[in-house]
Amino acid sequence: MDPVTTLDKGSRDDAVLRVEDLKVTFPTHDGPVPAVNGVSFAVYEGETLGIVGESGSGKTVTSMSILGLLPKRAQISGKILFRGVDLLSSTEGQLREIRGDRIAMVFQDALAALNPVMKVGAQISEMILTHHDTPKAEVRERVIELLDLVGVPNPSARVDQYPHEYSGGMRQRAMIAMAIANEPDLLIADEPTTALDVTIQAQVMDVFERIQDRTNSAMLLITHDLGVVAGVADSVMVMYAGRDVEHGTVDNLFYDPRHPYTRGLLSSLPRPDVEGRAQRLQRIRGNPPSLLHLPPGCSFWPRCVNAQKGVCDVTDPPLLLLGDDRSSRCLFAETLPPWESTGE
Amino acid sequence: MPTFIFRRVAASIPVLIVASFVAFWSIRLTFDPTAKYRTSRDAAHLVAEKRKELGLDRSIFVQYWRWLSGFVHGDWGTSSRTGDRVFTMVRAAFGNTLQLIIWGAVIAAIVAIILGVYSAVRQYSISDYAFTGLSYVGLAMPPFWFALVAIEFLAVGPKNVFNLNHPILYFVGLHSSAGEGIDLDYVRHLVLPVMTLTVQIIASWSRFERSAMLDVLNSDYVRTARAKGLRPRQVIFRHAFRNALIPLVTVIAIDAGALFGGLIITEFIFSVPGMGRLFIDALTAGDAYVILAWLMVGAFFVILFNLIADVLYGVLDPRIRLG
Amino acid sequence: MTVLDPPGIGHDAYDDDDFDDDLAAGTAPEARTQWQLFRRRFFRHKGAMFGLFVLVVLGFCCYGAGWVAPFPKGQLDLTALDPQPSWHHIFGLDPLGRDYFSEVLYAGQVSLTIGLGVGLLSTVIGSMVGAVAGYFGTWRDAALMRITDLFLIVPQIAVLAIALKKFGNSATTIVLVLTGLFWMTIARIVRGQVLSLKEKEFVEAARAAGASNSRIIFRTILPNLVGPISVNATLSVALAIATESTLSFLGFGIQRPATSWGNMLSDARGYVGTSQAYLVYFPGIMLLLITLAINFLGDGLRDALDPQGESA
Repeated sequence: MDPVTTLDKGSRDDAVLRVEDLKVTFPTHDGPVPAVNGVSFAVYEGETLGIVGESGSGKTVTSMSILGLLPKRAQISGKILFRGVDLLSSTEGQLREIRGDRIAMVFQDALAALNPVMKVGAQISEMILTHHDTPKAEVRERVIELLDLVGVPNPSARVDQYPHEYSGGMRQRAMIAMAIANEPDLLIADEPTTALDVTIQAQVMDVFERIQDRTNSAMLLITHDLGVVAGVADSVMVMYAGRDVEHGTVDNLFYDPRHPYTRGLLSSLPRPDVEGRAQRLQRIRGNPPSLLHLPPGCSFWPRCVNAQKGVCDVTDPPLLLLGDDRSSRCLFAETLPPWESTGE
Repeated sequence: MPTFIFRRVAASIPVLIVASFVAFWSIRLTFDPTAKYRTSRDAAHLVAEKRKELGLDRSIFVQYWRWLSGFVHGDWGTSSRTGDRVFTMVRAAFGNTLQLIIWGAVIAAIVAIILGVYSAVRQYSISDYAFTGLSYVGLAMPPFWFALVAIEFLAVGPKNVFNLNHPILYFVGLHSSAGEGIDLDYVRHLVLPVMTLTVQIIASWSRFERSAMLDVLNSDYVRTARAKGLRPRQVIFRHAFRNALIPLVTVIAIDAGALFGGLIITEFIFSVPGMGRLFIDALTAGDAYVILAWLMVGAFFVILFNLIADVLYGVLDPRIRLG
Repeated sequence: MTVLDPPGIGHDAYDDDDFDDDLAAGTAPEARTQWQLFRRRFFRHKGAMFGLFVLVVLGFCCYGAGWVAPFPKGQLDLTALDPQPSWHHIFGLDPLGRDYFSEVLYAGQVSLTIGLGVGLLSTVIGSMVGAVAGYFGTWRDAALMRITDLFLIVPQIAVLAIALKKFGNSATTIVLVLTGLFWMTIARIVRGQVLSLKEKEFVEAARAAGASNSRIIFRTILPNLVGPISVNATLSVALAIATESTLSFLGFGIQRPATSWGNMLSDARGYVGTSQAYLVYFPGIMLLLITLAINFLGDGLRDALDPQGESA
C-alpha cells in the first residue's frame, strides 16, 4: 500500500519506538469506526515527537494503543516496535512489565487521573514498588526527591497530601514525577497542559524539558496546541481523520508546511506580531468528517483550498517522501504554492 | 468531627420535637383512648371520668406537654391493649427487631457488594446478564409474596415431600420454644425472615454497587493505575474498590434506617415478636400510646442512620472534611 | 482540469454562507430533533418494549375483564369437583369456589386503578408544589422542605396504615391517602430540578421578555422537566401498586368483599403448604409482572431521555 516504503526506515537506528501502519477500529452500533487508519512514525532517544491534531483525529487512540490501554473490543493491527519488540504481539504480562517502567504515560486531567482517596506520595511509591523491590523508607526518600525535581514546593509535607489538596499545576507536576519515577525510556504525554492555565502551561512544559535533558528519554507529546509543539518538540506528526498527513521537523513544518491541513492549522494561529496580517482569524472552513462516512479520496478534500476535483476526491493519497524526515500525504505536496508564515 | 456530630444532633432535635407533636396530634385525632368504655352500661359517666383521668379534657398543647415530659423521662404511657408499660413492651420488642436488622443489614451489604463488584468486573458476561435479570426480579417482587413462596418452597414444601418431622427452615418466631442464644436452631429460624427482609435491598444495593463500580472502572485514575503496570487484581482492590464503596456506604446507612418499615411485613408473616408486630397489634387495637412511642423510635432510628451515613462518608472520603 | 476555485479567494476570510454545499456532501451527519432522537432510543430499548407490551396485555385483560374473564365476577362454580387448576379453570378455584382467574383479573382493576390514580395525582400535585417552591424560594421552599422532612423520617407504611385507619379504606380514600404521601418525593425532585434550571439563560431570557412568573414556570421550565417527571411518575405507579397490596395484605387497605391482589394474597396465606398453595402464586405473579413491566418501562424512558452510556 503506502507508508512503510516511503518512510525513512533505515537512516537512523536509535529509534526507541517505531510504529508501522497502525490501525485501530472500534465496532459500534452504526458500523466499524476506523479511529486510526494506517499511521506510522518513530521516536528517537532524547528527542520529542509532537503529534498534533483536532479532537477525533485519532491521536489519543494512537497513544493509548502503545501501552495496550484500549478497551478489549478495539481491533488493532500493525506493528508497535519498542526497542525492536512488537508490543502488539506481547502478552499482557510482558506489557505490564513495560508499563510504568520502560514506557510511562502522563495524562491530561491530573485531578481525574489520580486516585482521590489515596495520598499522592503513596501513588508515586506504588509506581516504584510495582517494578522494584525497594525498602519502604528508601522509596519515600525517592518520592520526595522526585517531587522536588518537578518543582513541587515543600515536598516532604506534600507527599502525604491528597490530590485535591494540590493546585492544578502542582498536580500535573506530581503526575510527571510519577511517570519518571522509574526513569522510563519513553515518556508519553497526552495533552498534559490542556487543562491548565496558560501561565502554568509554560511552567509544566519547562518541567518536561528539564526532565528530558536529565534523563535523555524519548518523548511522545500529544496535543492540539501548536504553540506547545513549537516550544518543545523536535519533530512533528500531523494527524487528520485517523491518518498521518504530514511529518517533519519542527522548523520544516512551521516554516514550510507541505499539507493544506497543516497550513490551515498554522494560519489559524493568532499572530499579533505580524504586520499586514488580516485582522480576522483564518479558519479552516467546514467540519471534521464523521469517521463513519469519510469522504472518498483524500479525507481532507472537502475543506481544502487547494483541492482539485477529479483527483483529490478520487485518489487515496499515499505518504510522499519529500526529503530526510519530511513527508506529506498530499498529492500536490511538491507543487503547493510557497508558504509565507504571514499567511496565504 | 465532634463539632459536626454535635451540630447535627442539635439540628435534629427540633425536627424530632415537631415530628412528635404532629404525631401526637394525629394520634389523638385518630384514636380515642376512651373508646372501650363507650359501650359499657354507664358509658356517659365512665367516659367523662376517664377523660378527666387521662387528661383529655385539657388543651392539646397541655396534653402534648404532659406526654412529652413523661416520654423523655422514660414514662411512655400504658398500653390500652395489654395494660403493660409501653416502655417495657417496646424494649422487649426492639431487642428482637434489632437482631433482624443487624443480621439483615450485614448479610445484605456483604452479598450486595460481592454481587455488584463481580458483575461490574465481569461486565457483559453471562453471570452479569443473569445477575441483572435476577436483580430486576428481586426489585419487582413484593416481599410479602416472596416470604409466602419461600415458606412454601423452602420450608413446608420439603417437609411434605420428604416427610420430615420439622421443616428445615422455620418460619415462626426466632426460636423454637425452649431455645435461647445463637445456635443452629436460631439460624434455622433466621434464614427465611432475613431473606424476606433483604431480597429487595440486596437487589437494589447490588445494582447500585455495580453501577458505581463500573463508573470507577471507567475512570481516569483506574486507567492511570493500569498504565503503571499493576495487575488487574491490584487495580481492582487497591484503586477501584474503595472508591466504589464510598457511595454505597451512604446508601446502606440511609436504607438501613428505612428497614424499619420493611420489618412490619417480615415480623407479621414470621410471627417474630418485634417492633413490626407490635405496631400491627397496636394499630389494630387502636393502642394510641404504643403507636406514638413506635413512631418516635422509628423517627429516631432514621435520623440516627442518616447521621451515621454522613459521618461515614466523611471518614471514607478525604475530599469531604466535616467541621 | 478545473481547479476548484473556493469562493472568497482573494478575500480575507471565508464565511459560512460562502461555503459550497457540494463540498459538504457526505461529510456531516443529518440533524434530528430531540423528539425524534428520543423516540428512536425509546422504541429500540428492548426492556421498555417488553414492559410496554406486558402492561398493555395485562391492562387490557384486567380492565377488559368483562370480555376476557371466562366467568363473571363472584360466580360460584358448584359443579367443579377439584379446585386445582385445569383447562376449565386455568387458575383453579378460590376457597369459595369461584374461578380464580376471573377473580384475579377483576381484582387487577382495583390494584391498577389505585396505582395509576396515585401516580397521576401525586405527579400533578408534586410537580406543581415542587416547581413553585423551587422557583420562588424563600419561605415556600423552606416550608416544603421542612414538611417533607417530617414525613420522610417516619416509616412510610406505618404512616399510611395509621392514616387509613383514620380515614377509612375505600378505594378512593386509599388513592387520596397514598397520594398524600407520594407527592412529597416528586415535589422534592422537581424542586431540585427547578432550582438548577432557574439560573439558566433561557429562563433569564424569558424573564427579560416580560413573561409572567406563572408563564415562566409552566411554559418554560416545566416542559424541560417532562423527562425526569415522567420517569418518576412511572416508577411511582409501581410503588403505589406495591404499597397498596402490602397494606391490603396486612389488613389495612382494601377490605373484603372488595378484592385487590393484596387482600387475595392475605386470604391465600393460610393455604401455604396445602394442595391449594397455587392460590398464593397467581396474584403474586401478576404483581410481579406488573411491577417488572413498569420498571422496565421507566428504565427505558430514563435511558431514552438521557443516554449516558452503558452502566446499567
